[in-house]
Amino acid sequence: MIPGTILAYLVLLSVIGVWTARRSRASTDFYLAGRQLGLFTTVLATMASIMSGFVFVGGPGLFYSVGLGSFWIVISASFTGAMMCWLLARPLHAMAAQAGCLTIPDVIVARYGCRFSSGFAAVGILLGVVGYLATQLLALGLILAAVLNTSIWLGILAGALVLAFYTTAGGMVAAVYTDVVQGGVMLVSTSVIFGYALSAAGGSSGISAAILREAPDLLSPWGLVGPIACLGWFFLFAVGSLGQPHVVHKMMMVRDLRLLKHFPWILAVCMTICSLVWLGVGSSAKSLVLRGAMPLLAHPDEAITSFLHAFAPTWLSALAYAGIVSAIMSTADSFATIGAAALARDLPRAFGRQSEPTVTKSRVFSVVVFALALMFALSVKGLVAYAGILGFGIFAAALTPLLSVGLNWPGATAWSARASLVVGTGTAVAGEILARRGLYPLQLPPACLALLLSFIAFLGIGLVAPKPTEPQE
Amino acid sequence: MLWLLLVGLIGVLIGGVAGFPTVMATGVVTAIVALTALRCPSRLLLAAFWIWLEGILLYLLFASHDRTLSALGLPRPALVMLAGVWLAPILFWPLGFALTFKKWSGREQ
Repeated sequence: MIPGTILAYLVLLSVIGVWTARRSRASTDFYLAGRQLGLFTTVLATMASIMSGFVFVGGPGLFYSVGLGSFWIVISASFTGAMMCWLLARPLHAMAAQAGCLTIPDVIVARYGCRFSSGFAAVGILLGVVGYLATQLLALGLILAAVLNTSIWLGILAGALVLAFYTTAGGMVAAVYTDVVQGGVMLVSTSVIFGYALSAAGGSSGISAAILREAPDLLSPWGLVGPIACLGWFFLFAVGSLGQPHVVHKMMMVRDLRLLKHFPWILAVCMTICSLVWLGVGSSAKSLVLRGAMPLLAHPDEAITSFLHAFAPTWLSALAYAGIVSAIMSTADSFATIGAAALARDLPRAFGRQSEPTVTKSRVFSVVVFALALMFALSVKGLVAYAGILGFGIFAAALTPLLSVGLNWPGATAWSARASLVVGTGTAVAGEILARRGLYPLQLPPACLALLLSFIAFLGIGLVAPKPTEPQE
Repeated sequence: MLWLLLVGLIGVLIGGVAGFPTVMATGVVTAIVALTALRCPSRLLLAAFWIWLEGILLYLLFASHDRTLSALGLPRPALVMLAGVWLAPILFWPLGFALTFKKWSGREQ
């Protein structure tokens, strides 16, 4: 039943890809879904883009290994939607409508008049997309391998093929429409899995009692990682969300800004429901292992698959796997489209080529992005969650100051943007390399350090040497 | 507000590098609020969120080893973290955005 359900679901997504291919006739369709999104489509597409395999597979795994402290990664989801609306919705929407911007690098060149910044941002986006997309493919491989009883590498290949098919066919139109379906499946499945996980492990009191008896520090607010790392994650994910191109890009696709009045609280409720899987499955798996009711996990990322395998009835496993596959694919499709945009139009424009790529050319570059991510995925050997942090960190450090402050502060200059991009991206990459080699000396996450230095460079240069330029809204 | 944002960011940096969680927590809250203040039309929403989040984070730093059980069988600090940092903020900014929407869109135009 489970393999059949997942295969039918993958076929459904491919059919949506074929259907939307007819609606992707121009670049505005391929990159901005025709700028026709309504409230609920925007909410579901935004939520589905944010809530990825990182939340569904890496999250329970992180809770299993470091405890409640891991939840600081997702805890700010309740208020970041409001920050996004206040700071970014109006300028991004206006730039798409009035200046014809289709991508975030377009916005940067329109705001700062600097092709270097735009090109550098496109490179940062491409690096982040490849890293993050590889994370999604790894997560997809883990899940499909568990469901179809095959190797993880075959799972990655199968998932990548379906994703590449519908994303290449329909671009952002396909991404948004599949996101709506996937977002709905995610909301239903997370609610059911959470309830079932709690009940299987003896309710919240039973889970808590088992963990407190064997490993009480796991239920400390800072888990096993301590307050510095947790506060670093909190800051990184609360503020760094404003630099995630696949998320803030949705603000450019909204039909009418007035539709956003209720966007933040509906998004917050949906994200809260989805993040229940992190808490519910992570804590249940840990307590069941501590009690000896579930075998010790070979790898923390197996928390959700092992739990489903050991305890869930078939129908629930089918629903859960559909939800997980939805979460992973809904993030990956947006990445593929913005990665294709970076290759097909943003980088050539940074070198002075102004011609708009055809939809066919954009489709070809979508395939190239998948190929790059696939190669990266096959070479990554760390935890899924940590690979996700690398991608998130690059986006956050490279883009957050330029968008969140730069679009709201006339004093920001092209030099602020250049300094911020170089410092942020350089620190994010160098910090992550050092961390992976065990040479990073701080408790502060490398991506958080990169975001801080990027912000300080941006503000420092803007405040010390102000050269007012009006934001072009 | 930009200077306040810079002060908050430097607080996060110093607290994070030197290992002072209290300084870091205050810097995190200051930076988030100062950044949002660039466009949030309500000082009340900003101040309320600032006081709330700062209070919760300081409590969590000083009471993290408290194992007193509370609702849902969770230790009290864990429950305060989930209720105070995860759920309650929906009532501050997301609902606040809807309530101040006219003012925000009016100012923007």
